[in-house]
Amino acid sequence: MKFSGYYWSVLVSVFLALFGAKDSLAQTKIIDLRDPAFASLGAPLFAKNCAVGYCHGSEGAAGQGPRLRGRHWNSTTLFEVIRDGIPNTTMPGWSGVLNQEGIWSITAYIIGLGTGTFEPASGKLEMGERIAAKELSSKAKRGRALFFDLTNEKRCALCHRIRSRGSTIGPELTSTTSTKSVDELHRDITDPSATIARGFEQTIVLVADGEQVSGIKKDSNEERIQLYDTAALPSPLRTFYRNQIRGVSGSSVSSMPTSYGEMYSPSELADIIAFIKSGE
Amino acid sequence: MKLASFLLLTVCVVALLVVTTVRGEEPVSERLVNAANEPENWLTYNGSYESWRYSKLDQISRHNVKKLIPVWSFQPGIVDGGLQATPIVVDGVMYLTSSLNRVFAIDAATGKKIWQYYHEIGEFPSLYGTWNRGVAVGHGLVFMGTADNYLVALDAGSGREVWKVEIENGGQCGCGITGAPLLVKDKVIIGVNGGDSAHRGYLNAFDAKTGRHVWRFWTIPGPGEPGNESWKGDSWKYGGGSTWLTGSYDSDLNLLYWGVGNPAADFYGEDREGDNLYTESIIALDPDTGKLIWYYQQIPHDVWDFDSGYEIVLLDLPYEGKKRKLIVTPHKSGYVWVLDRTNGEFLNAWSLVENTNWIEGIDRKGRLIGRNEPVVGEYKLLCPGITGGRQWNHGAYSPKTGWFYSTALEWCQQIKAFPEKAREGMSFFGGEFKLVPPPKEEAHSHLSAYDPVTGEHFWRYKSKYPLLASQLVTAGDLLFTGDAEGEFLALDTETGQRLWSFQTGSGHRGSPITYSVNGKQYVATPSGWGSAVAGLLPQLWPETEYFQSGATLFVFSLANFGVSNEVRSE
Ligand code: HEC
Repeated sequence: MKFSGYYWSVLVSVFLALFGAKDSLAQTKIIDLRDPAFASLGAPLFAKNCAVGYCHGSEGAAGQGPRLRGRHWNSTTLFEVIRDGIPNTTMPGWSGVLNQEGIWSITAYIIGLGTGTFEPASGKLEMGERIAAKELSSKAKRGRALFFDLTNEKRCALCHRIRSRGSTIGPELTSTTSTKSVDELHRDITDPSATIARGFEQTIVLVADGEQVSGIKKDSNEERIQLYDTAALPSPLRTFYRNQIRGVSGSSVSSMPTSYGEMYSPSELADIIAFIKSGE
Repeated sequence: MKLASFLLLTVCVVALLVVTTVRGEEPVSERLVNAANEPENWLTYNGSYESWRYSKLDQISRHNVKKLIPVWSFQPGIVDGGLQATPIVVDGVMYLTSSLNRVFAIDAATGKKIWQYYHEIGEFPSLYGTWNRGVAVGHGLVFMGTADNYLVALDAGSGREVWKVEIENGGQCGCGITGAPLLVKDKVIIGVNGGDSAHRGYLNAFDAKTGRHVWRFWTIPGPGEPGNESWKGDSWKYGGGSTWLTGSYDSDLNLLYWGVGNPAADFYGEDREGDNLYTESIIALDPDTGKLIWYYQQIPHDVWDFDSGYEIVLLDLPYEGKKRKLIVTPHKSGYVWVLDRTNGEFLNAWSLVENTNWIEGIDRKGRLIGRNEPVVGEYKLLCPGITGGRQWNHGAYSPKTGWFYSTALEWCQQIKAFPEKAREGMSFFGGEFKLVPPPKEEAHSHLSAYDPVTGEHFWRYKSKYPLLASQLVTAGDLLFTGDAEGEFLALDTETGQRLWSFQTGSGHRGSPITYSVNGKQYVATPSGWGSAVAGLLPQLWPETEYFQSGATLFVFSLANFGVSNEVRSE
């Protein structure tokens, strides 16, 4: 019988789950990928995230992404591709968006569209997994929304990266949380020139055509200087080649905008600070 | 009398001098405004600011086209997504982009590479592909938008990076750039994709020299701005409205025209009740300030994902006996709109396709009659489908025939809407579809010659598979385009007769151009099957799953110039 091999692997998996490594006993659950009820959990997730628009097509019929129906799969590989994506292609990883159970249910759903042959027949689910690293307070959530607000053309994320999101023109703010007090952060934001973060002093380049450009130096070598021109937002990274440069100097003024004290209300500022400080 | 004419002459000479100096100061805009008068070059994405994709070159003509042979080819080395670009040619140098944002400068006569630039793609949105449709060139710089939403400026001579700017984080916004920028005076105008994501669209202008942001036009007005009331609740924040292709420019009126794409969620409209301005509109902006001068919304409250993003062709033609400044703009819905480009007045709309049921028609005032909308939870047959009555690949206008040439796609979809909540930067379709043939015939495609104002058609070239490449027309009475099976074709502009073809080995999804170097005319075409829509074709034609992708630029010229056939075959 065609499926006997899979029953075997299910048995082995169950055995492993029950009697295998000690910690996996407490934390993992084995999923039967042939269980139609489980696969049906994947159908709406597939429709919303994978079939959509130009991607894999309704019921995996093909699109910008390859046809998924009518194929033979290795379940583990399929799960991993959905979880991690494929670099340098339009296939994103879904680990930050869907939980493991969701990804396994999509795996089961795709397998169900397939040729009927697949292996292994089970998936391993780590229990207690959370997608967001940390549940934020409502204050910090409001602060996060302000920090990343795409409708605000002066949003912090244009220059700052925090917990792997945002640009790296200014200092990374994830580590700032542990070292700075609320007052210090408040001063950093409303009066940026009061203290200047080390490595982010302003550089001024005098260009041969008379233009003077100030901002944050990204890199320099014998050939050229790369400078974020912070006079504009978003700040372009400009490259000046040595033969264009008349002079380079520094300044004690911060390259961060000075308007946040007026732009945000005290409670909004408190929200942003709560967000910055909300990290581990 | 004599004195008077002498004075007049002096005035003229002085005026001429003034004009010349002004020209000297603004060589870029002057050249671009008059691009049609230097047919040896292909200076801007659509060939000219008027977006005709027409060339005055006539060395290659219907009489000698059979002697056309390939003279060089170029391979960017990435086949994912095919090759979708329009090459730009300036004074003997070609600038070509490929998937993954590679840019190449190539000797346009020999094919020898001069330099390359590879943009390193960081976080980019999942939905819109890694491909790229071309650059803008001017001020000694080459400008490219990137899949992860940067605008990059390179030194045209060396390929060295001069500036680059991240417009919005691609991972966060679920948006990026695949379209070519448009250079207007000292500004680079660049659109954005993301219309099928939870994203608020915009059009941006950057200073060409410095990369500093000059203006942003939000395609969806914010609270307090006129038009915001056409969006229910907070839906404006994630309402789509992308600007993913390249606009046109009228230098006399100083108006920049751009198409704004569909609202999101694409198929589920209940959470965004209202007209959803300025999605599905042609907008006319002051290119110096980004201020809206007029707009015309073609589809209020779109629920079909019909983008108003295609080419905006500027024509000065009689309309009802009076010469008017017109816009003729084909649309994904399969209709072509004719507007007055001075004020956005609706004049006419005509259909490219025969299979259409999303509306019953369009009345004399431009209102849609008999809307046929997707419904929640059950499949419905709608024509054309999300893949369009026409794809984005551009049509062409020949002033010699006075006709507009365009492809059209006869296919439908079974579509089902579902409610969906916006997740910032994530796909936001609100529905699912399957491609199906039209009720009474097989799915197919055609390329036709039309009266641009009335839509009357004069000839029709049929194709089994969708025609997904742009058209080029020339004063040599030739129309060039490519098909899905890899044939690069030359048709007679007057009859549609197929005069010549060349098998390039992979299907066509890009835009051919023509140019000349040292008096010799060349025709260049990207070849390389790929893209989102190409990927959907197996739903109707299973064999197309095995249409191999590729990415090669082929360049042709007449055999009796330079290397002869005989020499080659030895
Ligand atoms: C134009 C880019 C830019 C923008 C926008 C910007 N900053 Fe900054 N920021 C900088 C630069 C550059 C520095 C380093 C110089 C300094 O210390 O003032 C900095 C420093 C900081 C620091 C101190 C970091 C340290 O390690 O000492 C904090 C905190 C900060 N910014 C928060 C914010 C917040 C919050 C916002 C939004 C409300 C914001 N910034 C917007 C550029 C920017």
